[in-house]
Amino acid sequence: MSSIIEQIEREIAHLETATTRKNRGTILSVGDGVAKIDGLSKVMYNEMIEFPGGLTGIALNLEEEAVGCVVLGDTSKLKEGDEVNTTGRLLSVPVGRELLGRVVDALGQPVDGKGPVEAKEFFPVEKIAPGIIPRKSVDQPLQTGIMAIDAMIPIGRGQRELIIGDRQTGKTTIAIDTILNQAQINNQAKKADGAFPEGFRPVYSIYVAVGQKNSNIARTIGILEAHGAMEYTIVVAAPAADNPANQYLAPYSGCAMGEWFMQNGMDAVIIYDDLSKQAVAYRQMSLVLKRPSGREAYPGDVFYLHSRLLERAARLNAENGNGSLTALPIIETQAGDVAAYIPTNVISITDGQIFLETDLFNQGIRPAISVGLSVSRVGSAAQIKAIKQVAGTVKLELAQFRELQAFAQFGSDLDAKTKAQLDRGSRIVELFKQPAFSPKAAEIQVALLWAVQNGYFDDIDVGGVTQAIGALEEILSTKREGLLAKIRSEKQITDAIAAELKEAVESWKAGYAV
Amino acid sequence: MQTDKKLQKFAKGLAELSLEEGMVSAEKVEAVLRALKKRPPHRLKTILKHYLYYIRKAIDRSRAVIEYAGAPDDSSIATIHKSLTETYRRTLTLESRENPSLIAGFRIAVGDDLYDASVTGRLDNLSKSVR
Repeated sequence: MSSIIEQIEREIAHLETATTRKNRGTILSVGDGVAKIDGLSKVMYNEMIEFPGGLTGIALNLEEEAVGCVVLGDTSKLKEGDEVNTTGRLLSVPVGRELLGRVVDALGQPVDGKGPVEAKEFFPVEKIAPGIIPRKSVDQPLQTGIMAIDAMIPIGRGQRELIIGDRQTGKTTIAIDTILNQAQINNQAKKADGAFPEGFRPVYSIYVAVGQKNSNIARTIGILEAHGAMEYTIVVAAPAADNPANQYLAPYSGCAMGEWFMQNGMDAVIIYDDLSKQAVAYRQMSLVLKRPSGREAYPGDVFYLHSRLLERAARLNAENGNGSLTALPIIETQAGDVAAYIPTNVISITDGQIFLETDLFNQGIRPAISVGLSVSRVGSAAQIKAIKQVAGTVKLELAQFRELQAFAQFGSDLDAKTKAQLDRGSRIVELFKQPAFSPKAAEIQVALLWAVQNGYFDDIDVGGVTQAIGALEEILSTKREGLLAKIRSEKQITDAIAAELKEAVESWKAGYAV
Repeated sequence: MQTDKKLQKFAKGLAELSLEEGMVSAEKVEAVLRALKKRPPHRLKTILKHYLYYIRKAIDRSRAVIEYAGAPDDSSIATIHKSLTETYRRTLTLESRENPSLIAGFRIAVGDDLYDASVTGRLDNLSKSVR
């Protein structure tokens, strides 16, 4: 009881006693989450509007005779003639560490039933992206824990890497694996007192779910909780049942939360799952607002919708705190059509893409990454030296393998070199198969890639490679922790480490029944 | 859509013609209506609807409505009037009416702007801040 009284006393102390000035308007019409308002002559673009019943709206269409406003909430109780007021504030969301482990809506309000978020700071959802001067080129890796990505399509901190593919090809799984891997790395480095060692930069994750089924979001949260990753994660949920305005806003809200980490010298990764649904929500809003429509009925500024969001991902230089915000937007294609409007837009904005193919997925190659169509424009600048040493040529080898595989179908007589390339390629394909939600540490990836590249799997039947890799991984992580620790700390394969790796793999091979 | 915008612009022009020193003049409005009746343009009803909207806006802009709970004295009203005229840089007609729901203090509305110095307004702000 005393705390309630204290809260009221505090509020009274802060309360403005001077005359308040408001700009008023009246509702002309309400429909589909959009209200047309007469008045509001001094309203700002994107300003928060106060509706009756504690509802909030955002002014989006400023016209001479009326203001078009999207209402963030249930509009069923609003009626023509209701009075609305400007607030003088742009839409802001709570930010900070207090949000870690929480599930919030597009306005930053908790939806997980764990009580209010005790955030001390608020950031506007729309913010101008960092300019050229405070930025720095991407040079630190962001390990996803997915071997195929870390080896061939490395992602750096501050990069924007698109995950694109048809439905049911494993796009969300890649995103979740990335979050799980960050949590795994953070937990590994965390000291007993909960602090991180000097020089270690933990990565915090923000998962923005847009237009998804509530059951899917609940499943994702369940996975994050089961793997102990929620401690480092914020989930922003704007499910399919939410109104389009919330689905449009959720990525910006999540981005504001991620920017807080970046601006305070920390690293964060944000996943927008997915931006196609955000574009659809924006299209719906725009059509109801009677904005002119263009290609595929999207409004003319749909490119700007995504570019201004993704530009906010950055790596800041030392003078600006050295923080970073990595963006992993997800786009769902229809029947593999990457040339559609939204996919081409987002491909052109991002620094590369991970393309997932339905055919590969159905063949059991999971993650179903298409090596030919996937690229990371930041490249090896975002790889640790050890991975560069063992994976430098893997992408090329795999591309050659796919080409040779296509030719090999037409002829039976192959020369020894071609046969060796095919054999190695098929083993690399097996190596990159990885079950969902089991990210691999960088040192394990290095050891396994080293073993494959040095021919230790060449005499193992292709069908048995996955099992052999599992066995080697188990031996390394249970009996060769010292070796893994050396790779982790030195971040490169020195002669001594190579010798130790050779000894470890040979002793495993000697005892492994092919 | 384009035609409607043209009609809107035309009605806005008529509304501007109906002003005298920034205030709506009854004689000028009458003259405009007479002229429209004499040579009715295409879609007169739509034009008149827009014209009415702009005239209403103009009247609202030139009028300050003071609501109070406990009548303010003449000097206070004069001070308020002077202050508003300086703020808006135009002549404002003052209308005052009693509103006991304000509990104490007063509220002034000029066009879309609302200045609230009432107890009800402050209680409202308090309830919003602790919500």
